[in-house]
This record gives sequence, C-alpha cells and structure tokens, in this order.
Amino acid sequence: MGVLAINGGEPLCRASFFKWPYADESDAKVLEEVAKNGYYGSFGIQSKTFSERFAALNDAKYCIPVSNGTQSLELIMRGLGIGVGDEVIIQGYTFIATLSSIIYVGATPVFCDIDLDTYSMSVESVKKKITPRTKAIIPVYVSGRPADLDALIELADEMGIYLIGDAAQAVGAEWRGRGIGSYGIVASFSFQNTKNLTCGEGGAITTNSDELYDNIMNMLNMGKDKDGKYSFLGVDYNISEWQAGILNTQLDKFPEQLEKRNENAKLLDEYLSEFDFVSPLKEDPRITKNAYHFYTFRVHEDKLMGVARDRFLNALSYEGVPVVMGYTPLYHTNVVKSEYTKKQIQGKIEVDLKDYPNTEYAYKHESAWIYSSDHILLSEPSDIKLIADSFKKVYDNIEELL
Amino acid sequence: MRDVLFSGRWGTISPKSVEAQAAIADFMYRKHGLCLNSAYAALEALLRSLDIGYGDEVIVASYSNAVDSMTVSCVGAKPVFCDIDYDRCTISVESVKESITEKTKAVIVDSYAGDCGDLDTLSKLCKENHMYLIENVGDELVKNKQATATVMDIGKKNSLNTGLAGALVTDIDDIYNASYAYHNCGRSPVATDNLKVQDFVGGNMRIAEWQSSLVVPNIEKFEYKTEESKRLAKELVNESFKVLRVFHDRALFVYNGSNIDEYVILLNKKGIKADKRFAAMHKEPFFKSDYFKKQSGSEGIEDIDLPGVEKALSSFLWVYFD
Repeated sequence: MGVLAINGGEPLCRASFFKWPYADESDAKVLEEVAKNGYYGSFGIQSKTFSERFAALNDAKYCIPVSNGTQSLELIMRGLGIGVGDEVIIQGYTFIATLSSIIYVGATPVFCDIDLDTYSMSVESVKKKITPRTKAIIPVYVSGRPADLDALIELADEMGIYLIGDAAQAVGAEWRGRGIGSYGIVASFSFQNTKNLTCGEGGAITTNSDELYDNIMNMLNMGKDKDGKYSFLGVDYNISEWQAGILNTQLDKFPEQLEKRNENAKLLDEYLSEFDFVSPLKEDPRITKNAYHFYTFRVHEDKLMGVARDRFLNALSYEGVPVVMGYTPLYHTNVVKSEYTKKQIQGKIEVDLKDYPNTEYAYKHESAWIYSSDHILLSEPSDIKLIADSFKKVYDNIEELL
Repeated sequence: MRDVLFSGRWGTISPKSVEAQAAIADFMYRKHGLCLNSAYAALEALLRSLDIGYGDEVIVASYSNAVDSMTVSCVGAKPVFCDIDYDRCTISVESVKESITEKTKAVIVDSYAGDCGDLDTLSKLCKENHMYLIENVGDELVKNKQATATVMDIGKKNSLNTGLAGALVTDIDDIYNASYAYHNCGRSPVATDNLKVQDFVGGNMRIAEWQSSLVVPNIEKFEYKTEESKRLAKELVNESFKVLRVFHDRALFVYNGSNIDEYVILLNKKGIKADKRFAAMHKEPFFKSDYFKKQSGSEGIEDIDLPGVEKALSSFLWVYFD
C-alpha cells in the first residue's frame, strides 16, 4: 500500500464541494407565480423580463431567450443567412454543439488551432483558414475565458466576416469592462444544468444588430413576418415561462456567485503558481471578468519525471480532486467523417492534424480541468486549499506512479 | 415542481423526463417515447434519425401545420406540397400518389380535428414506395398505430399543458436510438460519459424537468378533459351550421358565405375564438426565397393548382372552445 490514494492510501481531498444548481424559496416562489399566471409557454412575461435583464448584464441592445445554447447557434447562423456552401471557422477544442450547429445549417466547419497560453482560438491559425467562402468565425470562450477579441474582431472586420461569440460557458464574462455578449455581431449563451446561470435547459442570444434581432424573432414566430406571412424559416426553439422564471431568480444570486468564483480561482492560481509541474492559463488584463465556469490548467509532463498527464490526473482523482483531461478535439470524432455530415454540407470536412499542433499537444499531454457537476469554485477557501494540497501530495509521491 | 427544484436536476435527461417518456409511450400504445423541447424539435429529431436531409423530398399537405414544411426545410429537405381531400379535410391520397418522385423519403400527415386521413391506404402506399409515414397529431394527441413514428405537441393547454414541449413515439428501436442521439448531443440512451459523443451529429433538443414533471399528472387528466371538452363542444355547436367534425376543444365548420376572413373577424369581435387555422403553405414567400433555394438545393416551390386547399381556405372555419 502506498501513500497515494490510487495505491490504497488515504484520500486527502475530503472536501464538501458546493452542490449545483443552488435553489432557495425565491425560486419556488417564481414557479408558483408562473403556475398561478396560467401561461407557461413562449414569449411570456418572465421571458420578457429576463431578456431585458440579460441584455443589460451584457451591455447589449437585445437579448433573445431560447431553448438552449446549441439551437441558439443554429438560429444565429440562419439569421445571418449562413448555410450550404458557406464555411465557418471553429477551434477543434470545444464541445460538439459548436460543430453540430454548423452542420445542422448545412455549412462547412473549418477547424483552426488554439493558443496554448490561453486555450482560445489562435488568430494566426484563423488567418490561414479564411477563404472566399468563409462567412463567420466562432471563438469559444472555453471555461468562461474570453478569446483575444481585439485581434479577432479586427480580423473579422477586415475580412468582412461575422464574429459569433460562443459564450455558452461565459455568462458574466467581460472584456475591457464590457459584457461579453456585446462583442462581435452576436453571442450565444447556454443555461444548461451545469452552467453558472441555469434553468436546466436554456439559452440566449445577445446582439446589437437590429436586422439580426428581427430575423431571429421572426424565425421564432414560426417564420411569420409582421404581416403574418411566412417569409422566414420557422423554428420553435423558444423558452418556456418555467425556465425564464427560474433564470430571473437565479440571476438575482448570480453577481455574488461570480465574485466568489473569481476569488477562488485567483486563490487556485496562486497555489498552482507555486508548482512547476502545472500552471494556470496566462493572465490577460483585458479580461476584466472571467466567468470561470470551471478551472482550466496546464500539466507539464516534462516536469513529472516520466509520468504521463493522464496518470497524474488519475492519481489526483483518487485523492478526491475532480479533474478531467478536457475536450477530445472534435476533428477526431466520427461526426466529421459521417455520411450524414457529407450529405448535409454537400462536401466533406477537411482535417489536417499538422494544422492544429497546439490543440493536439493540449489534448495528448497538457490540458486539464477541475470540473464536476458540483461547482468547485463556489466552495469554501479551505476546500480550495485541499485541492492544492492534493496536487502537492501527488507530486511529492510521484515515484509511486512510475 | 418543488421536488424538481430541490433535486438539483433541472435538465439533461433527468428522472422526470425519463418517467415522462415511459408515460408517453404507454399513453400512445407504443414501445418508445421521447420528450423534447418542442413538437418542432420532435419532428426535427425524427427526420434526422431517418437520414432525411439535403436533396430529399417529403410530401406534406399545403393546408397543414406550418411546423411540417418548416421542419422539413430546416433539415435541408424539400417539402413537396400536395392537396387535401376537401370532403374529409385530410391529406389527399391521390395527390400524395401524384407527388411521389424518386427523391421522396417520407409523407407527413396531420391530424385535422382527430382525423389523420386514410392511414391504411397511406401506409400501404408508403411501404410500396419505400417511404416513411410520419404522423403529426399536434395537440390533438390521437392514437393510431400505422405510422413509422408519431410526433405530438404536449405544450398546449388543451394537450398536456406543459407550456412548451413535444414528443415522439415509435415502435422501432433504431429510430428511437437515433432520435435520442440527435436530441442529446449525439449520446446514446445508455451513455455514461457526458463528454463523449458517438457517431451521430447530435444537437440539443432536450426537454427541461419543469415541463417533464407535468407530463404524468396531465396524462392522468387528459382522457377526462377530452371527453368533457367534446361534450361541451357538441352542446355549443349550433346545428344550423354544417359541422364537418367536432373534436376535443374544437369544431370544424364549413362556411358558405362570401368572405370568410370578415366572418372570422366578426366572430373574434364577439369573443368567439375562431380562425382559418392553416395557410396555403405552398404560396408562402419563404418557399420562394433565396435562403430556401440555397438550403434545399432546389429552385423553390412552384405555383401549383391545389383545388382542395383553395376551397378549404375560403370555407373551413375552425372554432375553439376554451
């Protein structure tokens, strides 16, 4: 029996992490209000209230609450006229929704690389992927950290393409003091059960564009224009009053939670900075608020005396630290090669691993998240300390992993 | 709802949605049930699970729920609009026959006040031509067994009153499994790792637990509610009008006057909820738009002569009894 829990020792991290989602009587009350009101469907009073509040949070002119953060991306692309024959650039290091929404509208996804310092879309890689067919780029704000919006917006404007922010994980994030939902032509949010602002299933679109707002609202009205004619593609990706009501009461609690997430993340940054075998992502003063949906860090295998990242993370898991390696790049999934994809996009998705060296390195050797259905960053500082202590314990006993 | 609230599981296939799905399957006498975030999503997941997309054609009645032709367009297929059988107010079997091409993958039939049409003949026709028969019973929740799969709206007040949700039922395992994957980010019904996706291009069409929690209690009330509605509707219907059908909370009248639009306005002014219910979808601008052409790879929907639809638009009057 060794010292490490993976070898039969006592787990160190016996923390009581913050259970998510958090509900109190204010949430129960809003459900009662919806029930008494008697209207539970789309475009109700709760939805209207939420749209105004969420637009304000994002410094955006409009917010459209929708069914989830995947269908929101589809709506956005359709609202911008993106479809068959068009190309949309995304990073491979993201969730399936970013990819599937593009295929669902019939456009061709084009993969670019990420920067290892930030795990965000690489501007240089995007530049190499732009063609005359490119209609949009979708930077994903992984874990709630905005990408380099100065450079990406400048590039998008220069090339005459749209920047669609995938802010599914970035509710509350700010870039240069302004809400993340006000950058680019439009941004897409998710309120799925694990997200920092949740109603179980839900999403939102924020934009400053009058035209895009009108297009999307008409589509959500089953394609009817103001004269009652079906002039647009109709969809029903709406949100119910139950979901919108819960979003309103959850939004009341949100600012305090966001502060706590940031405080605990900074604490973890400090603790992990003491080690050379892991490091937090690079600080960027332009990110005035990181949403910290979860905590991403880099593992440096060369400092682990021959122990691979996955083995190291496994040992941490046994200690009680909820860690995962993060995304498998989407270009590795069968979705990319499927016959259905080829049929829908009328072509094929080109994948050349040489074009994504950073994504591949992150995937195979470096990327790691502190991630769980509990919200670790809302836990007590003493629990955060236990996480850091567990890192040290595993490293101090690394020979047990050889 | 309180149970859901304090359970911490508000979405992403949680206990109430699992329970709702089993209840929907039982209710419709089918093997599998799947609850989704709208009836539109239910039809979308189904079409995708049947591999229907770009380059394919799906036959729908022009005088029908807009959800049908819009969802077909959403997945990249082309809706081929056919006529209705005016005397019965259902999709016309003859017109369906004339609309079949080598690209046809499915026929969608709607429920018009409880009648989905001649399903025996349509089912046989679909089998002969290797097409799927899809039934959209909307909020009427009628129970037939002939279709490959049935889509329904369980959001409406007269339906299961969840606020906003849809469902599909089928007896076919592969269709259920594929629909499940399409509605849940590509995951299989037995997946344990949420970050892993399988071969399907999965979207998200999941129902939230709030709506799911209302399914079972409202199914329990539904039969009684329906019978009561039918009884009241029959009492309210003035026998001096020609009534084609009375079903659930609605009656389909045949209007013989000269201007149905004015008559609808008049009824509405008197506080009577009435409308023409459907449009002639084949004439709607979207199906001639550049976006439709681009997405379907077609030249758009041509102007065609559908006499049953024309006649329906000037005489079918729907009245609803809340």
